[in-house]
Amino acid sequence: MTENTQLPSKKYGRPDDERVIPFMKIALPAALLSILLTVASIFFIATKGLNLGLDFTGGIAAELNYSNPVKATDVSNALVKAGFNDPVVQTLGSDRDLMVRMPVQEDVEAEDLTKAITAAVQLPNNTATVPKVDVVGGQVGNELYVRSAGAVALALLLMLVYVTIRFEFKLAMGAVLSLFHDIIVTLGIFAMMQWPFDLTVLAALLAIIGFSLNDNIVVSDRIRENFRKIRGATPLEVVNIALTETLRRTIHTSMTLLLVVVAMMLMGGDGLKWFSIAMFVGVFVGTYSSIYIGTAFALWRGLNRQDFIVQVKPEFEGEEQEIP
Amino acid sequence: MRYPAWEYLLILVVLVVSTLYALPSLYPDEPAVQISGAKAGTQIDQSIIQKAEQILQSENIASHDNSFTNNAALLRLDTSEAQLKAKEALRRGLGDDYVVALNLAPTTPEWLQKIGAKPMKLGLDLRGGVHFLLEVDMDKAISQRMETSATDLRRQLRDNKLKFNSLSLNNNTITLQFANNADRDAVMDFLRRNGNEYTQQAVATTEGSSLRLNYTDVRKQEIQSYAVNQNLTTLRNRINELGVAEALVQTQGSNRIVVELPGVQDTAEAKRVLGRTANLEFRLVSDLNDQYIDPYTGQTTGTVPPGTEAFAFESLDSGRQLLLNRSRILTGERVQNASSGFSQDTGGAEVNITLDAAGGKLMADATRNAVGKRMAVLFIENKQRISYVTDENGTQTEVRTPYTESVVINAATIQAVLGSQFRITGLDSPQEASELALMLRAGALAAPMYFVEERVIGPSLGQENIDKGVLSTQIGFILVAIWMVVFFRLFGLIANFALVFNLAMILTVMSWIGASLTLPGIAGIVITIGMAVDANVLICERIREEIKWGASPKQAIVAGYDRAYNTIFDSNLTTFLVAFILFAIGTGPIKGFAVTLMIGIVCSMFTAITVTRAIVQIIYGKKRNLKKLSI
Repeated sequence: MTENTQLPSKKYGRPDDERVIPFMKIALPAALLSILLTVASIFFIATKGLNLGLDFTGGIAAELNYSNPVKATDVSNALVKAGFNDPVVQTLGSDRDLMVRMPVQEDVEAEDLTKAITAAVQLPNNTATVPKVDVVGGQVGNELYVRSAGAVALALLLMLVYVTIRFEFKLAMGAVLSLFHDIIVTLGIFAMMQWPFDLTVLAALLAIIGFSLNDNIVVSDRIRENFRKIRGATPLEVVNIALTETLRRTIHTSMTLLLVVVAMMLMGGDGLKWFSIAMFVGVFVGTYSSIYIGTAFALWRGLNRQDFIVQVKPEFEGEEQEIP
Repeated sequence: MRYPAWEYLLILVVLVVSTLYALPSLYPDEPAVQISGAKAGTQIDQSIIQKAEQILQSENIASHDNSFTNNAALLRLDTSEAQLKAKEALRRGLGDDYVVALNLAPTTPEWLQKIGAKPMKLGLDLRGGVHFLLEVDMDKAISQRMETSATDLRRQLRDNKLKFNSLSLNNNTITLQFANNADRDAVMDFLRRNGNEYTQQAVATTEGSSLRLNYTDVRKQEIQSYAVNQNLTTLRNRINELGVAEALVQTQGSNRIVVELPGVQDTAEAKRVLGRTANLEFRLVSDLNDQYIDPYTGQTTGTVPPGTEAFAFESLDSGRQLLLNRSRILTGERVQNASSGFSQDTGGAEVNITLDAAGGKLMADATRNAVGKRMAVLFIENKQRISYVTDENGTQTEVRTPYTESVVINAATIQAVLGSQFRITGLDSPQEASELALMLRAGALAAPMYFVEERVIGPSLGQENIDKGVLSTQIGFILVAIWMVVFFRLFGLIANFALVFNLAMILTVMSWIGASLTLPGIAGIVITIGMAVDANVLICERIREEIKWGASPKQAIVAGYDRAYNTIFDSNLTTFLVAFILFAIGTGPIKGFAVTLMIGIVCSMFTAITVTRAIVQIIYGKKRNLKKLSI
């Protein structure tokens, strides 16, 4: 593709046919957008709440397959008649596949739950099979919820420490802020759309943290390199150059990840559906945030060349850090 | 541009090994049923296969490549539906003497099996089956134990002539009242010297000085882990009866037990067996035993006298009987612990039994006037016989008839008045002792357990999950491969090779560590593919930049790999950390995802950097006057 063998030219020692994209020109509007997104997400999480899956709430979930199309209300009435409390019936894709969710039943004999449900949901001229029944105790779900929140918090904290050690505190703060943004916005979208939030979505959320951090680190790495290499440029210019240089990589990586995620979303079946949707959202949010939150924040906090200059002290191998 | 020879060698070795060990995953296990004898002693032989084949033929179920190894027959079937049908038919046809279990038979060629290459195990979500999560009631385990301790303590203090006014047990705290501080200090000192299993808290009250005792944290943990392990053992024994060949029983966290039964669809039956308690009774051997049991045949002569019952002795089919009193001393629920050991006096095998407080009292009362008599341990198991009734329409219905099997597993002479701790000595062998201890323990669970989670996944759903999961992985993989070749040409092709290599390595490592593939695991592999190309994208972009900056192709390759390395290392390490957190907090499905992600990251570091670098070296290394790269 590139056969450019011309020698480096004057402007900061860069090949001069390479245009530097002024990413940070729209840093302010982007910051406003990020704040708006975050606030809106928190609003949705607070008002609508997450549609927490069985894994977290505890209860019973059963999948039903009918031989003929069926109305959700008929099924729910049949269940109530059989003595089940508060069943919520949703269709899954077609009008023959349904999902029933209900709280853990006190009075129904748990011994033969599958049989009891199967018997209850048979409709006239429309037989149903129950391929899957899940029962999760409320206590287990609650514990999982707390532990998951703890896991996300721990992941963020570890990243803060790691990036501070490897790079610099301002970039670390920026990275953690952008990861935080990714999580909140993904959660916000799930809350707004009332998509089910289950264990696999949690896994996706942590995979998004990993992916978004990847982006942040690649950019941070290049910023550090450029601060050391390029002299006479303002921090803003250095950041813009770094973002321009890594842009192609960012696009390629996001696109390849997007390809597998979309394949999973469209063809992975129900088991991978919400996982891949969360990943899909996360790829976009993560790519955006690493540029406009991670680096923009560090720049705003006064990131400069001084932060990366290696002090000539033989006993130190790494970078000198300046922690405000 | 140089590349050390040992790295080629390393790559070659890894490549060969991971290809070999990933191969079996192309040969998926096929459904099978396993037939074994119902009792350890039952000898079965080749003829069982012909018998089973006949039964299957009459039901029009095809089986193939049937074999007989390790005292069990394995019949291979074509589909999981046929497998379920075959299990039913065989259970019906062969009767109670055989255990018919669902199993999976490997189809891996023999030479691969010989080097230990196994196909990856499939998780429950891909195979179908039931998943239970049971919670052990820890409070109960501790409070039960505390009761025994309180009684023991009372006895110990009396035996050692230590004075105290009263001993009470409230909320798992033993409170001792003393007349004065000197008495209290003596007891505290005594406790410290003897085991030190309590935390001591001296309190001054209006009635004088008192002492509060709680278990130390170490002791509590001991009791809890004992309770969990004991229940685990009991569950394992019971699951064997369910006839599930590849059941998974393991602890989760400190107080939960996961039970996964692949292939089982009948939760009710599974729960009944898991939740069942075999019972144990201690009874005195009747004084009339010698009168009514014929010493030669070992059988009862005539009708047994009132107030007694005759039971099979030692084993159900031993033909010998023992006459026991109808009234029982106590039941197995009172047994808190039983362990086998060696007698310090005679060196013979013995079983040490610990009863709870109430049990100890019952035992003492019963044995006070019975020294010199024999006491028997009666093992009573509730079982079900499954029979099939054909009605006039020709449809068969399953009829379950509960019945009990009682057998006297041990009878020993009472040497002294027994309390809550006693020994059964004079056993023939250490094996017999440990078997008896196991039976005594397995009779009752160490602490009550509750089902807190239950999942049933139908076999068709499992198949659908795996089909779709694999299909989407393949499509995602192909799309990524096309993308890489279009944008990075030869370097993209090399990266694709590294991806395939990566996949083989993941499969190999997973089959080595025995991790099973789950649906989230497939997701983990897919994400790994997405992330693994990132390393190659970074390298390729870096090489392009170097060229742009005026480096020669070879310099660009060296510098590109060199400079991209740090970035790749950092980004992979952080992703690994996230995966590790997932692994640490996650349960079941999340752990599966985390494990594949971690393995994938580590493998991709090797394939994306080392392997591609070596291939680039082979292609470009020897060329002089290299003008341009296909990138």
